[in-house]
Amino acid sequence: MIKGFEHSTEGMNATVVLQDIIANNLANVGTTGFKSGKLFISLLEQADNPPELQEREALDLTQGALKKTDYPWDLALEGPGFFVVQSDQGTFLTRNGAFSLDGDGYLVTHDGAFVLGERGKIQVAPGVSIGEKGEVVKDGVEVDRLRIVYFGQTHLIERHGQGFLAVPAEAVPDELPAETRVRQGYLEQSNVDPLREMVAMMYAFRLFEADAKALKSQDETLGRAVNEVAQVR
Amino acid sequence: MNRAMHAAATGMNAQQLYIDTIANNLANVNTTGYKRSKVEFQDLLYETIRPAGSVTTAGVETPVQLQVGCGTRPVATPRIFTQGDLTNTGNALDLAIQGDGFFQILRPDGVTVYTRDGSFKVSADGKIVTAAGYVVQPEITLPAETQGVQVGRDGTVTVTVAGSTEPYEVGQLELARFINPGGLKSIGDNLYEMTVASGEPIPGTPQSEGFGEVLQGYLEASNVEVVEEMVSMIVAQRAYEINSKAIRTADDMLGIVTNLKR
Repeated sequence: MIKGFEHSTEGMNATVVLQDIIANNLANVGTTGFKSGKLFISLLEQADNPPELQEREALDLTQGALKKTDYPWDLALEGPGFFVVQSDQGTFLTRNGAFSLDGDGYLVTHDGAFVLGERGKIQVAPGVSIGEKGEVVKDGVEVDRLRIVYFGQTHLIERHGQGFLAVPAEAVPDELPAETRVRQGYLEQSNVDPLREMVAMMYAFRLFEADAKALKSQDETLGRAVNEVAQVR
Repeated sequence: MNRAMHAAATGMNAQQLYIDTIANNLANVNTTGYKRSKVEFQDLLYETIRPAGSVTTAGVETPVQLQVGCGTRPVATPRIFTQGDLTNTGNALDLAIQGDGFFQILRPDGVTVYTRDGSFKVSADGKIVTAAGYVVQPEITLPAETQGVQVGRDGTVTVTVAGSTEPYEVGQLELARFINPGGLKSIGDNLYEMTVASGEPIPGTPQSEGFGEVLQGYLEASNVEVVEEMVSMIVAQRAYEINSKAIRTADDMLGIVTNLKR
């Protein structure tokens, strides 16, 4: 009987995490370069042992729609890969190409993290343009190239927050697929699909409700066992 | 459950700011020299519920961590300095910049500010000033007997005076450029102030390298595109709505929990 309670509460806890992830996806429906999260729940233990569920968030790395902004330092990646940025907390990956210039002319994120090129920080002067392969072109001469990295093993990629993603330090980038292109004056929008999230939300809600019903009916059965079956007349 | 509610609440706040920005852009659809703003959002920090490498009761190491996000936040509202349409007014002191650059204006408190709004006037003592009466830099004074003013594309100001057929030069307009105009601070009245992010102003004459040209008798209209703003407004409203649904669902789930105990 008590084991049944544990099953139900474990299920309800997992559903709460699912709902949290959906809420975070929906909150980020307008966040540039955001990749929606999906929850995987797997049963680790046999049902006759104490139940144990393992929840795991995986990133959905599908391409977000490109939106034209006309802002010269808005860059979007079309195809797989990540920009590399360096903040005071370390080096991170991002798909959020909403960059800007700081007072010294360095290409930075809106948080002030430096965007890295093959030769380090990128200093751009007026008249500099960014080519499709990330070439930083000044007066027709390529002065640097944006660092764009790709990881085939997507499970290595973890969220860091503030639009940044991180991989373990020992991870080695794979060769960048040839189809990846940089688009200047565009931003990649969030890839959250509101319809799918709404359906997932309804589904999670009903799962939660069903678990609660199961819990309640077990409680009722237990109540009967305690109050009626074991009644001493 | 509270996490879901707070995450959705940050989403609603963010969309509210988005709508505020769109409303301000639309309100300035007819403001001379206005440059539209956009809003940039970022996801917030992530709470790690189960770190990678933690061991389950079965002795299995989990290969990945479980993280739940805390929502979104607006991070910047950069201005987009694309060229606005030029409208012909025929007024001699209506000046528009075609290309890069800002007019430099001296505020009464001694600070130089910058604008793309070239609807200038003449003050009582003959100086070229903005509609608010601030003096355009470098200071140009028109003689009292001026009959006509000509402003060249390179910013030279020449006048013809009564009793003379020969026009003569009274000054040269200068523009200022910034490495990062998106970092300028808007202070209202179509004026911008320099910041650390915008970089120091780079002065220069119109038509010189990298600078735009000055067109007399034209004004630069706002660069707000109404259709685009309307579409953004629809998107923002729906995003707002959908986040409110997430809060309601979380609330309903809490209701179920509360009703578990008879």
